[in-house]
Amino acid sequence: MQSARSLKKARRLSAFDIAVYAISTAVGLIMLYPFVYMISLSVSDFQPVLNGEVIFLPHGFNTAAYRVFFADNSIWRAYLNTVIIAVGNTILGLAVNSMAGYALSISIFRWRRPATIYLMFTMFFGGGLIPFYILLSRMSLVNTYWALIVPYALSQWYIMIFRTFFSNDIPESLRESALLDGASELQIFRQIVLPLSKPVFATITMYYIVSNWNNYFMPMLLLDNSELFPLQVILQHKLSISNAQKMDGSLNFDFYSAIPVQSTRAAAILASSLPILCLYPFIQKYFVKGVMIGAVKG
Amino acid sequence: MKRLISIFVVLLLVMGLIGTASAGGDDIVKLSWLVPTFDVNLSMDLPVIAELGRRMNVEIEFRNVAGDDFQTKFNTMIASAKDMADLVSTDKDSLALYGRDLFVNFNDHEDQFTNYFAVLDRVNCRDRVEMDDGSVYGAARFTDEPGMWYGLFMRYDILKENGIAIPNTLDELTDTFAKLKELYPDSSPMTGRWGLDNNISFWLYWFRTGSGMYYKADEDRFVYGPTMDEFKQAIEYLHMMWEKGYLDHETLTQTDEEFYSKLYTGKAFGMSDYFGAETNCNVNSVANNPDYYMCAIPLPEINGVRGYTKIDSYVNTGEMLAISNTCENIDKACELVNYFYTEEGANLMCWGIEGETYEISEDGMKHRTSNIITGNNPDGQVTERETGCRIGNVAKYWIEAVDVENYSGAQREGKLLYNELGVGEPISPLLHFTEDQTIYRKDLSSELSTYRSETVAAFITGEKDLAEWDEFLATLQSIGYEELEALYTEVYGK
Repeated sequence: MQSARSLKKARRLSAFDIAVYAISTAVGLIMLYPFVYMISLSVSDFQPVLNGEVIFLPHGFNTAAYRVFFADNSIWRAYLNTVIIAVGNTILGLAVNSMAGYALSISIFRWRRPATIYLMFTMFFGGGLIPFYILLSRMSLVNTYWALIVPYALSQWYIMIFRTFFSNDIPESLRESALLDGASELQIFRQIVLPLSKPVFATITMYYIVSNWNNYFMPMLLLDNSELFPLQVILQHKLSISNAQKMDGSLNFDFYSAIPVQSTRAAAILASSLPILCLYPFIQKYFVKGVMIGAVKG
Repeated sequence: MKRLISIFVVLLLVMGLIGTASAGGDDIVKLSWLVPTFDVNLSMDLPVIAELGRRMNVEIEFRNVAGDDFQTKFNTMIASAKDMADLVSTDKDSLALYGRDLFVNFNDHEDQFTNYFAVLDRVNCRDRVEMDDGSVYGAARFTDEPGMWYGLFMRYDILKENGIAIPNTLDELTDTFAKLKELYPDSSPMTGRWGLDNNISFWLYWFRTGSGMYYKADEDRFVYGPTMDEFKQAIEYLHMMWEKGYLDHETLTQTDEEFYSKLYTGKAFGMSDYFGAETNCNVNSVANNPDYYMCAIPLPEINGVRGYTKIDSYVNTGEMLAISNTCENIDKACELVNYFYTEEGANLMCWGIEGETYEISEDGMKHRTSNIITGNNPDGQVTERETGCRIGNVAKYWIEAVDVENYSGAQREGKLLYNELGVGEPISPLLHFTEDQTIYRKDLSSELSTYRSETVAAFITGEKDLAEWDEFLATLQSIGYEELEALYTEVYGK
């Protein structure tokens, strides 16, 4: 009887709890609104969209904007390019950064401090865009996938996150025991450190994939061949065209398109962000722990 | 036997050599082209571009850059001087800065640009593409019959419905606004987009003036707009429109979507905008309201004189095509550029391919085929641009008749009206500033423009009293508009 009462007491919400739930719900709705609005715009009938009547829920139902978007073959090619770049960059980046982070986490590593300072320095002072472009050009990387994979394989920020995680979450004694058992550093890294580091790997994987998925500027700058364009470049072309259609009245664009530019734009944005949204739930369980690594421990 | 084999091998080698040599003449030349895209991504897959490739024996590797980011990419390539494309779409200002070092001077290949120069000379416009030292680093877009840009548009159906005559003078226009406001108090007679400054520029044209330095034809001199009486009158008029609610206050902030939705739904009845905007309104509203008809009204007569509209010029130096010094086949690149200015080249790039994108009627006139979507044929399957026709930066010789073919009824009517009224702006003489003068002019103009823009907006919205106009002029004077006028007078005098 007493336990039932205490259970009931525990279930009773305090004013603070209610406030937290209310604020969280409000923030959640604010976050959700742009998505709902985009979905509504992209599937509504054209006239309400043109008249500015779509505010929240769809008016009618019309999927023509999606049909037009996906009918363009360059979109599928762009999806593939994005996946190639994102996967390539993620695999190479995880390998390079995790091993660098592991090396810097070993306390007896003689060059640990100078190497860390050197990496930190380059976080704040870069060579600039033009030298970077010239360097890649001289290495004949411009206009290849490698231009977007190789330079980003090393990230000082991710190395620091790995280093912090390995230093704080993997006991030094584990490494020492393994060394006593005759394991090499590579074996220790592969067989002991890696299995214990799922959260940080999941987090960095997410960072890599999202940043690659959203990367527009560097592909725009480094790629000329439209066969290699990733999704964001194609998307920007499409949005740019939409803007031209709606802005340049003198060129009679708008009436060529049976679909309002708002609908096309919303469909394009949703179709391009959907894959990355689908990825989140699978990594979420590691993500909360992972994102805290760099934030609270140094 | 050995001798026979030797002869056979030698014969084979000779035949191979002959074959290679003859094939060499038909080798397709590869050229790369850095181009901003606003319409469709350019490629050899587009029928008209493929036809161009066949005729010129070239394969063009287009480097498409979204128009908004083109300048960033162009600047990076220029700064690094690496990986420059053979052909580069750019503008005259960029060529003035980088032409000497990076691009081919067309004067050094004058015999290869006979068509281009002939077209420019036909309308006495070669000086428009020349740098201050006379060199030419690019091929500008040429328009055979310059068209009109700006228009003052109103809903004819609404005017008719309420028995209001089409206004002709400024007073009649004001009366029209007043009547519409009285009849539809929740609507605005006029709306606008892209901020107040953009709308001011239209109205300054209606008042025959401008926001910066411009050529005043009747006085044959360059003047600074804000110091002119017409400029003050225009601002006073806009202030009156603002105060009485004739001009939509959201003109300051609204997006294109909001702008159009007001016009579609009767929350606004008119606009100062570009030709073509009225077509958007008509096409997108007629399903809801079959009587809907937005069309240009006469530019108002002010003090007995009718306003100007901005017109295109024969030569658009904002869209130039340059040939990079690093191009490995400059002769072919010159040939291609020059081809655009031939009758055949212009026809291909504007009208396209006979039977596929256009046909010739019995009276000898060209018309779009039924598969092409136009203002009069919205049921076509593809736009002309999707076939490669009439793509900005690529169609270097713009045949205006194609535009006319594409116009919807309202646009055609509007332009015919403006042609009848003869409201095209006077052509400004071309001034050649030296590099130092250019920098001085740009700096001073920018400073004047910032102050003018902010203050004029404040006058219109009532934040600043029009009684302070003299103070405004005094500040412009202290910034240095007189020096700017003096510079223009000096350069024009030369």
